[in-house]
Amino acid sequence: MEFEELYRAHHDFVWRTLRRMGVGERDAMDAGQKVFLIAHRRLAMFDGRSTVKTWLCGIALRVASDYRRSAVVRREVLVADTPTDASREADQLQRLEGRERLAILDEILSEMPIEQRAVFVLFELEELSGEEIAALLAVPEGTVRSRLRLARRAFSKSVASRQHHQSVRLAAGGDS
Amino acid sequence: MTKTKRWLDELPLESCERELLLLGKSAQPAHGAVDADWRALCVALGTTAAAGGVATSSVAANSVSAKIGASLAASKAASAGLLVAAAKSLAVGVAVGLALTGVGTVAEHLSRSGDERPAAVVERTQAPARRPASQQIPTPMTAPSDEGALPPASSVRGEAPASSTPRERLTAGSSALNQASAPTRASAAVAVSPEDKTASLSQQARELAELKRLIDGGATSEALRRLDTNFRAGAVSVLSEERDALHVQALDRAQRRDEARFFAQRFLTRYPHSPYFETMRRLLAEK
Repeated sequence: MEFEELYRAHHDFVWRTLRRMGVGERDAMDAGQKVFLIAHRRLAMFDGRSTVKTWLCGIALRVASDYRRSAVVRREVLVADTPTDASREADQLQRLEGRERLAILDEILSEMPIEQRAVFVLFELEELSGEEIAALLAVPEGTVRSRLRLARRAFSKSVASRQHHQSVRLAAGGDS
Repeated sequence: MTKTKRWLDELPLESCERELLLLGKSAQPAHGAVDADWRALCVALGTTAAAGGVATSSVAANSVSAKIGASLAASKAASAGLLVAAAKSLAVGVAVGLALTGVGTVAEHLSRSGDERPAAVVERTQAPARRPASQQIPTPMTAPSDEGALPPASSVRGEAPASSTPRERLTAGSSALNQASAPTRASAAVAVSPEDKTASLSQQARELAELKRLIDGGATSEALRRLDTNFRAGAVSVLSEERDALHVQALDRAQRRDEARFFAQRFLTRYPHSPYFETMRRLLAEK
Protein backbone atom coordinates (compact mmCIF):
# COMPACT_ATOMS: atom_id res chain seq x y z
CA MET A 1 0.00 0.00 0.00
CA GLU A 2 1.50 3.29 -1.04
CA PHE A 3 1.21 6.18 1.33
CA GLU A 4 -0.84 8.04 -1.24
CA GLU A 5 -3.22 5.11 -1.38
CA LEU A 6 -3.52 5.16 2.38
CA TYR A 7 -4.08 8.89 2.26
CA ARG A 8 -6.77 8.77 -0.38
CA ALA A 9 -8.54 5.86 1.23
CA HIS A 10 -8.83 7.62 4.55
CA HIS A 11 -8.82 11.31 3.74
CA ASP A 12 -12.56 11.82 4.02
CA PHE A 13 -12.77 9.76 7.19
CA VAL A 14 -10.03 11.82 8.82
CA TRP A 15 -11.64 15.04 7.66
CA ARG A 16 -15.04 14.02 9.02
CA THR A 17 -13.59 12.93 12.32
CA LEU A 18 -11.74 16.20 12.72
CA ARG A 19 -14.81 18.24 11.82
CA ARG A 20 -17.16 16.34 14.10
CA MET A 21 -14.62 16.50 16.90
CA GLY A 22 -14.65 20.27 16.79
CA VAL A 23 -12.11 21.39 14.22
CA GLY A 24 -13.47 24.38 12.36
CA GLU A 25 -14.10 24.12 8.65
CA ARG A 26 -11.40 26.59 7.78
CA ASP A 27 -8.85 24.69 9.86
CA ALA A 28 -9.80 21.18 8.82
CA MET A 29 -7.39 21.08 5.92
CA ASP A 30 -4.43 22.04 8.06
CA ALA A 31 -5.47 19.65 10.77
CA GLY A 32 -5.92 16.85 8.26
CA GLN A 33 -2.50 17.50 6.88
CA LYS A 34 -1.10 17.34 10.37
CA VAL A 35 -2.74 13.97 10.89
CA PHE A 36 -1.16 12.52 7.77
CA LEU A 37 2.19 14.08 8.52
CA ILE A 38 2.17 12.38 11.90
CA ALA A 39 0.99 9.16 10.29
CA HIS A 40 3.81 9.36 7.79
CA ARG A 41 6.32 9.93 10.54
CA ARG A 42 5.02 7.10 12.69
CA LEU A 43 4.09 4.61 10.07
CA ALA A 44 6.58 2.08 11.29
CA MET A 45 5.02 2.22 14.73
CA PHE A 46 1.81 0.85 13.37
CA ASP A 47 1.86 -2.74 14.45
CA GLY A 48 -1.16 -4.13 12.66
CA ARG A 49 -3.05 -4.91 15.85
CA SER A 50 -5.67 -2.40 14.87
CA THR A 51 -6.90 -1.29 11.50
CA VAL A 52 -5.21 1.58 9.74
CA LYS A 53 -8.48 3.44 10.10
CA THR A 54 -8.45 3.05 13.85
CA TRP A 55 -4.83 4.05 14.02
CA LEU A 56 -5.44 7.18 11.98
CA CYS A 57 -8.46 7.88 14.11
CA GLY A 58 -6.30 7.95 17.21
CA ILE A 59 -4.04 10.50 15.61
CA ALA A 60 -7.00 12.56 14.43
CA LEU A 61 -8.50 12.60 17.93
CA ARG A 62 -5.28 13.93 19.34
CA VAL A 63 -4.93 16.57 16.66
CA ALA A 64 -8.52 17.62 17.26
CA SER A 65 -7.84 17.74 20.98
CA ASP A 66 -4.84 19.98 20.43
CA TYR A 67 -6.94 22.14 18.17
CA ARG A 68 -9.67 22.57 20.73
CA ARG A 69 -7.12 23.48 23.37
CA SER A 70 -5.49 26.06 21.17
CA ALA A 71 -8.90 27.31 20.12
CA VAL A 72 -9.57 28.51 23.64
CA VAL A 73 -7.54 31.60 22.89
CA ARG A 74 -9.53 32.28 19.75
CA ARG A 75 -12.85 31.23 21.02
CA GLU A 76 -14.60 33.86 19.01
CA VAL A 77 -13.68 32.03 15.82
CA LEU A 78 -15.25 28.81 16.99
CA VAL A 79 -18.32 30.54 18.25
CA ALA A 80 -18.65 32.27 14.91
CA ASP A 81 -18.70 28.88 13.25
CA THR A 82 -21.81 27.79 15.07
CA PRO A 83 -25.09 29.50 15.66
CA THR A 84 -25.92 30.65 19.15
CA ASP A 85 -29.06 32.61 18.71
CA ALA A 86 -32.14 30.53 19.50
CA SER A 87 -34.16 32.06 16.74
CA ARG A 88 -31.47 31.23 14.25
CA GLU A 89 -31.31 27.71 15.57
CA ALA A 90 -35.01 27.37 14.96
CA ASP A 91 -34.63 28.66 11.44
CA GLN A 92 -31.86 26.23 10.77
CA LEU A 93 -33.86 23.33 12.05
CA GLN A 94 -36.76 24.44 9.94
CA ARG A 95 -34.83 24.67 6.75
CA LEU A 96 -32.63 21.71 7.41
CA GLU A 97 -30.36 22.35 4.52
CA GLY A 98 -26.80 21.29 3.89
CA ARG A 99 -24.24 23.23 5.81
CA GLU A 100 -26.67 24.63 8.27
CA ARG A 101 -27.83 21.20 9.26
CA LEU A 102 -24.25 20.17 9.67
CA ALA A 103 -23.72 23.23 11.82
CA ILE A 104 -26.58 22.07 13.99
CA LEU A 105 -25.08 18.62 14.21
CA ASP A 106 -21.76 20.12 15.23
CA GLU A 107 -23.41 22.32 17.78
CA ILE A 108 -25.23 19.41 19.33
CA LEU A 109 -22.00 17.44 19.42
CA SER A 110 -20.15 20.37 20.93
CA GLU A 111 -22.55 20.38 23.86
CA MET A 112 -21.54 16.87 24.82
CA PRO A 113 -18.66 16.11 27.16
CA ILE A 114 -15.73 15.33 24.94
CA GLU A 115 -15.53 11.70 26.05
CA GLN A 116 -19.12 11.08 25.05
CA ARG A 117 -18.69 13.02 21.87
CA ALA A 118 -15.74 10.90 20.78
CA VAL A 119 -17.60 7.65 21.40
CA PHE A 120 -20.70 8.92 19.67
CA VAL A 121 -18.85 10.16 16.59
CA LEU A 122 -16.76 7.05 16.23
CA PHE A 123 -19.56 4.57 16.82
CA GLU A 124 -22.55 6.22 15.20
CA LEU A 125 -20.96 8.20 12.40
CA GLU A 126 -17.79 6.33 11.57
CA GLU A 127 -19.06 2.90 12.54
CA LEU A 128 -16.05 1.78 14.50
CA SER A 129 -16.78 -1.18 16.71
CA GLY A 130 -17.07 -0.87 20.44
CA GLU A 131 -13.96 -2.95 20.82
CA GLU A 132 -11.99 -0.66 18.53
CA ILE A 133 -13.18 2.41 20.36
CA ALA A 134 -12.35 0.90 23.71
CA ALA A 135 -8.82 0.14 22.55
CA LEU A 136 -8.46 3.55 20.99
CA LEU A 137 -9.57 5.43 24.07
CA ALA A 138 -7.96 2.98 26.47
CA VAL A 139 -11.19 2.42 28.36
CA PRO A 140 -13.23 -0.71 29.02
CA GLU A 141 -15.97 -1.58 26.58
CA GLY A 142 -18.50 -1.08 29.32
CA THR A 143 -17.39 2.51 29.56
CA VAL A 144 -17.83 2.89 25.83
CA ARG A 145 -21.35 1.56 26.16
CA SER A 146 -22.28 3.90 28.98
CA ARG A 147 -20.78 6.92 27.21
CA LEU A 148 -22.69 6.02 24.11
CA ARG A 149 -25.91 5.72 26.05
CA LEU A 150 -25.39 9.11 27.66
CA ALA A 151 -24.39 10.67 24.36
CA ARG A 152 -27.52 9.40 22.64
CA ARG A 153 -29.63 10.73 25.46
CA ALA A 154 -27.94 14.13 25.26
CA PHE A 155 -28.31 14.16 21.51
CA SER A 156 -32.03 13.47 21.66
CA LYS A 157 -32.50 16.00 24.42
CA SER A 158 -30.73 18.65 22.42
CA VAL A 159 -32.76 17.90 19.31
CA ALA A 160 -35.98 18.04 21.33
CA SER A 161 -34.94 21.36 22.79
CA ARG A 162 -34.35 22.78 19.36
CA GLN A 163 -37.66 21.48 18.12
CA HIS A 164 -39.34 23.09 21.07
CA HIS A 165 -37.67 26.43 20.32
CA GLN A 166 -38.71 26.07 16.73
CA SER A 167 -42.32 25.38 17.58
CA VAL A 168 -42.41 28.29 20.00
CA ARG A 169 -40.99 30.58 17.39
CA LEU A 170 -43.40 29.36 14.76
CA ALA A 171 -46.29 29.82 17.16
CA ALA A 172 -45.11 33.33 17.99
CA GLY A 173 -44.84 34.11 14.31
CA GLY A 174 -48.30 32.73 13.66
CA ASP A 175 -49.82 34.88 16.38
CA SER A 176 -48.30 38.04 15.09
CA MET B 1 -20.26 -4.05 22.62
CA THR B 2 -20.66 -5.99 19.45
CA LYS B 3 -24.30 -6.44 20.38
CA THR B 4 -24.89 -2.73 20.60
CA LYS B 5 -26.85 -1.69 17.58
CA ARG B 6 -26.14 1.43 15.65
CA TRP B 7 -28.58 4.08 16.59
CA LEU B 8 -29.52 4.51 12.96
CA ASP B 9 -30.95 1.01 12.96
CA GLU B 10 -33.24 1.86 15.85
CA LEU B 11 -34.32 5.42 15.20
CA PRO B 12 -37.67 6.06 13.54
CA LEU B 13 -37.33 6.88 9.88
CA GLU B 14 -38.74 10.35 10.30
CA SER B 15 -36.75 11.35 13.33
CA CYS B 16 -34.61 14.41 13.28
CA GLU B 17 -31.81 12.51 14.99
CA ARG B 18 -31.71 10.06 12.14
CA GLU B 19 -31.57 12.83 9.59
CA LEU B 20 -28.70 14.53 11.35
CA LEU B 21 -26.81 11.28 11.72
CA LEU B 22 -27.17 10.47 8.06
CA LEU B 23 -25.96 13.91 7.23
CA GLY B 24 -22.95 13.52 9.47
CA LYS B 25 -22.09 10.14 8.00
CA SER B 26 -22.19 11.37 4.46
CA ALA B 27 -20.38 14.65 4.98
CA GLN B 28 -17.43 15.14 2.69
CA PRO B 29 -14.86 17.83 2.19
CA ALA B 30 -15.27 20.23 -0.67
CA HIS B 31 -14.79 18.87 -4.16
CA GLY B 32 -11.13 18.76 -5.07
CA ALA B 33 -10.01 19.00 -1.48
CA VAL B 34 -8.44 15.56 -1.54
CA ASP B 35 -6.09 16.43 -4.37
CA ALA B 36 -5.36 19.87 -3.01
CA ASP B 37 -4.59 18.45 0.38
CA TRP B 38 -2.39 15.78 -1.11
CA ARG B 39 -0.34 18.35 -2.98
CA ALA B 40 0.04 20.37 0.17
CA LEU B 41 0.99 17.24 2.05
CA CYS B 42 3.65 16.38 -0.51
CA VAL B 43 5.14 19.81 -0.10
CA ALA B 44 5.16 19.38 3.65
CA LEU B 45 6.66 15.92 3.39
CA GLY B 46 9.30 17.24 1.08
CA THR B 47 10.41 19.64 3.72
CA THR B 48 10.08 17.39 6.69
CA ALA B 49 11.14 14.08 5.23
CA ALA B 50 14.15 15.53 3.44
CA ALA B 51 15.54 13.27 0.77
CA GLY B 52 13.28 10.40 1.66
CA GLY B 53 10.14 12.35 0.97
CA VAL B 54 7.17 10.48 -0.26
CA ALA B 55 9.36 7.64 -1.38
CA THR B 56 10.17 6.98 2.22
CA SER B 57 6.55 7.03 3.08
CA SER B 58 5.86 4.56 0.34
CA VAL B 59 8.38 2.18 1.71
CA ALA B 60 7.07 2.64 5.19
CA ALA B 61 3.55 2.10 3.97
CA ASN B 62 4.63 -1.20 2.53
CA SER B 63 5.62 -2.03 6.02
CA VAL B 64 2.10 -1.18 7.10
CA SER B 65 0.68 -3.58 4.59
CA ALA B 66 2.91 -6.28 5.88
CA LYS B 67 1.89 -5.49 9.40
CA ILE B 68 -1.76 -5.59 8.55
CA GLY B 69 -1.33 -9.00 7.07
CA ALA B 70 0.74 -10.16 9.93
CA SER B 71 -1.32 -8.64 12.70
CA LEU B 72 -2.92 -11.89 13.70
CA ALA B 73 0.40 -13.61 13.88
CA ALA B 74 1.97 -10.79 15.83
CA SER B 75 0.55 -11.80 19.15
CA LYS B 76 2.14 -15.19 18.80
CA ALA B 77 5.47 -13.96 17.60
CA ALA B 78 6.75 -13.51 21.11
CA SER B 79 7.00 -17.25 21.42
CA ALA B 80 8.84 -17.65 18.17
CA GLY B 81 11.46 -20.03 19.38
CA LEU B 82 14.31 -20.70 21.68
CA LEU B 83 16.51 -18.15 20.01
CA VAL B 84 14.17 -15.33 20.80
CA ALA B 85 13.38 -16.69 24.22
CA ALA B 86 17.02 -16.93 25.07
CA ALA B 87 17.75 -13.51 23.74
CA LYS B 88 14.79 -12.13 25.60
CA SER B 89 16.06 -13.55 28.82
CA LEU B 90 19.34 -11.92 28.10
CA ALA B 91 17.59 -8.65 27.41
CA VAL B 92 15.81 -8.74 30.73
CA GLY B 93 19.07 -9.55 32.35
CA VAL B 94 20.65 -6.62 30.63
CA ALA B 95 17.85 -4.37 31.77
CA VAL B 96 18.19 -5.49 35.33
CA GLY B 97 21.90 -5.06 34.98
CA LEU B 98 21.40 -1.55 33.80
CA ALA B 99 19.27 -0.75 36.75
CA LEU B 100 21.70 -2.21 39.21
CA THR B 101 25.09 -1.41 37.87
CA GLY B 102 24.64 1.52 35.60
CA VAL B 103 24.24 1.91 31.94
CA GLY B 104 27.79 2.54 30.97
CA THR B 105 29.18 -0.44 32.78
CA VAL B 106 26.77 -2.88 31.20
CA ALA B 107 27.28 -1.44 27.77
CA GLU B 108 30.98 -1.77 28.11
CA HIS B 109 30.63 -5.31 29.39
CA LEU B 110 28.45 -6.25 26.47
CA SER B 111 30.71 -4.60 23.97
CA ARG B 112 33.57 -6.75 25.14
CA SER B 113 31.58 -9.93 24.97
CA GLY B 114 31.63 -10.21 21.20
CA ASP B 115 32.74 -8.66 17.96
CA GLU B 116 31.03 -5.43 17.23
CA ARG B 117 29.54 -5.02 13.83
CA PRO B 118 30.18 -1.89 11.84
CA ALA B 119 27.35 0.55 12.26
CA ALA B 120 25.87 -0.15 8.89
CA VAL B 121 22.49 1.19 9.79
CA VAL B 122 23.01 3.24 12.85
CA GLU B 123 25.75 5.56 13.76
CA ARG B 124 26.32 4.63 17.32
CA THR B 125 26.59 7.10 20.05
CA GLN B 126 28.83 7.01 23.04
CA ALA B 127 27.65 5.20 26.08
CA PRO B 128 26.96 7.61 28.88
CA ALA B 129 29.47 7.94 31.62
CA ARG B 130 26.88 7.92 34.32
CA ARG B 131 23.18 7.58 34.84
CA PRO B 132 21.15 10.30 36.50
CA ALA B 133 19.70 9.18 39.75
CA SER B 134 16.16 10.34 39.18
CA GLN B 135 13.99 7.79 37.48
CA GLN B 136 10.30 7.29 37.34
CA ILE B 137 10.34 4.16 35.28
CA PRO B 138 12.79 1.33 35.78
CA THR B 139 15.54 1.53 33.26
CA PRO B 140 14.22 0.06 30.06
CA MET B 141 16.39 -0.34 27.05
CA THR B 142 15.97 0.34 23.43
CA ALA B 143 17.78 0.16 20.18
CA PRO B 144 17.37 3.62 18.78
CA SER B 145 19.23 4.87 15.83
CA ASP B 146 20.63 8.21 14.99
CA GLU B 147 18.26 9.69 12.50
CA GLY B 148 20.98 11.50 10.70
CA ALA B 149 22.80 8.27 10.05
CA LEU B 150 19.77 6.34 8.98
CA PRO B 151 20.25 4.80 5.56
CA PRO B 152 17.59 4.90 2.91
CA ALA B 153 14.60 3.02 4.20
CA SER B 154 14.79 0.70 1.24
CA SER B 155 18.00 -0.74 2.54
CA VAL B 156 16.31 -1.63 5.76
CA ARG B 157 13.19 -2.90 4.14
CA GLY B 158 15.26 -5.03 1.86
CA GLU B 159 16.16 -7.06 4.87
CA ALA B 160 12.63 -7.49 6.08
CA PRO B 161 10.38 -7.96 3.09
CA ALA B 162 6.85 -6.75 3.30
CA SER B 163 5.69 -10.31 3.15
CA SER B 164 7.73 -11.41 6.09
CA THR B 165 5.87 -12.24 9.23
CA PRO B 166 6.85 -10.94 12.65
CA ARG B 167 8.07 -14.43 13.38
CA GLU B 168 10.37 -14.34 10.39
CA ARG B 169 11.59 -10.94 11.28
CA LEU B 170 12.29 -12.01 14.80
CA THR B 171 14.16 -15.10 13.81
CA ALA B 172 15.90 -13.41 10.95
CA GLY B 173 18.14 -11.53 13.25
CA SER B 174 18.18 -10.03 16.65
CA SER B 175 17.95 -6.52 15.30
CA ALA B 176 17.70 -4.36 12.26
CA LEU B 177 21.36 -3.69 12.68
CA ASN B 178 22.20 -7.24 11.87
CA GLN B 179 19.67 -7.30 9.13
CA ALA B 180 21.25 -4.39 7.36
CA SER B 181 24.64 -5.97 7.29
CA ALA B 182 23.41 -9.35 6.10
CA PRO B 183 21.07 -8.67 3.22
CA THR B 184 19.67 -12.14 2.67
CA ARG B 185 19.31 -13.18 6.23
CA ALA B 186 15.80 -12.06 6.90
CA SER B 187 14.23 -13.62 3.87
CA ALA B 188 15.91 -16.91 4.53
CA ALA B 189 15.09 -16.82 8.23
CA VAL B 190 18.50 -18.23 8.94
CA ALA B 191 19.66 -18.40 12.52
CA VAL B 192 22.11 -15.67 13.43
CA SER B 193 25.47 -16.63 14.72
CA PRO B 194 26.09 -16.16 18.43
CA GLU B 195 28.74 -13.57 17.63
CA ASP B 196 26.28 -11.53 15.61
CA LYS B 197 23.69 -11.73 18.34
CA THR B 198 26.07 -10.63 21.00
CA ALA B 199 27.46 -7.83 18.89
CA SER B 200 23.98 -6.65 18.07
CA LEU B 201 22.88 -6.78 21.66
CA SER B 202 25.92 -4.91 22.80
CA GLN B 203 25.29 -2.24 20.23
CA GLN B 204 21.66 -2.03 21.17
CA ALA B 205 22.57 -1.84 24.82
CA ARG B 206 24.77 1.16 24.17
CA GLU B 207 22.05 2.81 22.17
CA LEU B 208 19.54 2.08 24.86
CA ALA B 209 21.86 3.59 27.37
CA GLU B 210 22.21 6.69 25.27
CA LEU B 211 18.48 6.93 24.90
CA LYS B 212 17.99 6.55 28.61
CA ARG B 213 20.56 9.25 29.22
CA LEU B 214 18.70 11.57 26.87
CA ILE B 215 15.42 10.99 28.64
CA ASP B 216 16.90 11.41 32.08
CA GLY B 217 18.62 14.53 30.88
CA GLY B 218 15.37 15.99 29.67
CA ALA B 219 16.15 15.68 25.97
CA THR B 220 12.88 13.89 25.34
CA SER B 221 12.42 15.34 21.87
CA GLU B 222 15.70 13.90 20.73
CA ALA B 223 14.90 10.61 22.41
CA LEU B 224 11.54 10.43 20.71
CA ARG B 225 13.12 11.33 17.40
CA ARG B 226 15.50 8.43 17.72
CA LEU B 227 12.73 6.12 18.76
CA ASP B 228 10.73 7.24 15.76
CA THR B 229 13.64 6.41 13.55
CA ASN B 230 13.92 3.05 15.14
CA PHE B 231 10.24 2.34 14.69
CA ARG B 232 10.29 3.63 11.16
CA ALA B 233 13.12 1.31 10.29
CA GLY B 234 10.88 -1.52 11.36
CA ALA B 235 13.54 -2.73 13.71
CA VAL B 236 12.39 -5.84 15.49
CA SER B 237 14.59 -6.50 18.42
CA VAL B 238 14.71 -8.79 21.37
CA LEU B 239 14.93 -5.56 23.28
CA SER B 240 11.64 -4.30 21.91
CA GLU B 241 10.05 -4.53 25.33
CA GLU B 242 12.64 -2.23 26.82
CA ARG B 243 12.46 0.05 23.83
CA ASP B 244 8.70 0.30 24.12
CA ALA B 245 8.92 1.02 27.83
CA LEU B 246 11.38 3.79 27.12
CA HIS B 247 9.04 5.13 24.50
CA VAL B 248 6.26 5.43 27.06
CA GLN B 249 8.63 7.05 29.49
CA ALA B 250 9.79 9.57 26.91
CA LEU B 251 6.23 10.48 25.99
CA ASP B 252 5.32 10.85 29.63
CA ARG B 253 8.30 13.07 30.33
CA ALA B 254 7.47 15.11 27.24
CA GLN B 255 4.02 15.74 28.74
CA ARG B 256 2.42 13.91 25.83
CA ARG B 257 0.21 12.14 28.28
CA ASP B 258 -2.45 10.89 25.93
CA GLU B 259 0.09 9.16 23.76
CA ALA B 260 1.94 7.88 26.78
CA ARG B 261 -1.26 6.38 28.11
CA PHE B 262 -2.11 4.89 24.75
CA PHE B 263 1.23 3.19 24.40
CA ALA B 264 1.24 2.20 28.04
CA GLN B 265 -2.06 0.47 27.46
CA ARG B 266 -0.65 -1.27 24.44
CA PHE B 267 2.42 -2.20 26.39
CA LEU B 268 0.29 -3.96 28.99
CA THR B 269 -1.42 -5.94 26.29
CA ARG B 270 1.76 -6.83 24.55
CA TYR B 271 3.94 -7.59 27.54
CA PRO B 272 1.67 -8.86 30.31
CA HIS B 273 4.60 -10.37 32.19
CA SER B 274 6.94 -7.46 31.83
CA PRO B 275 8.86 -6.12 34.82
CA TYR B 276 7.53 -2.72 33.75
CA PHE B 277 3.94 -3.90 33.97
CA GLU B 278 3.23 -2.22 37.29
CA THR B 279 4.92 0.96 36.18
CA MET B 280 2.65 1.13 33.18
CA ARG B 281 -0.37 0.42 35.30
CA ARG B 282 0.55 3.24 37.64
CA LEU B 283 0.99 5.59 34.72
CA LEU B 284 -2.44 4.66 33.43
CA ALA B 285 -3.94 5.14 36.85
CA GLU B 286 -2.68 8.68 37.02
CA LYS B 287 -5.02 11.40 35.96
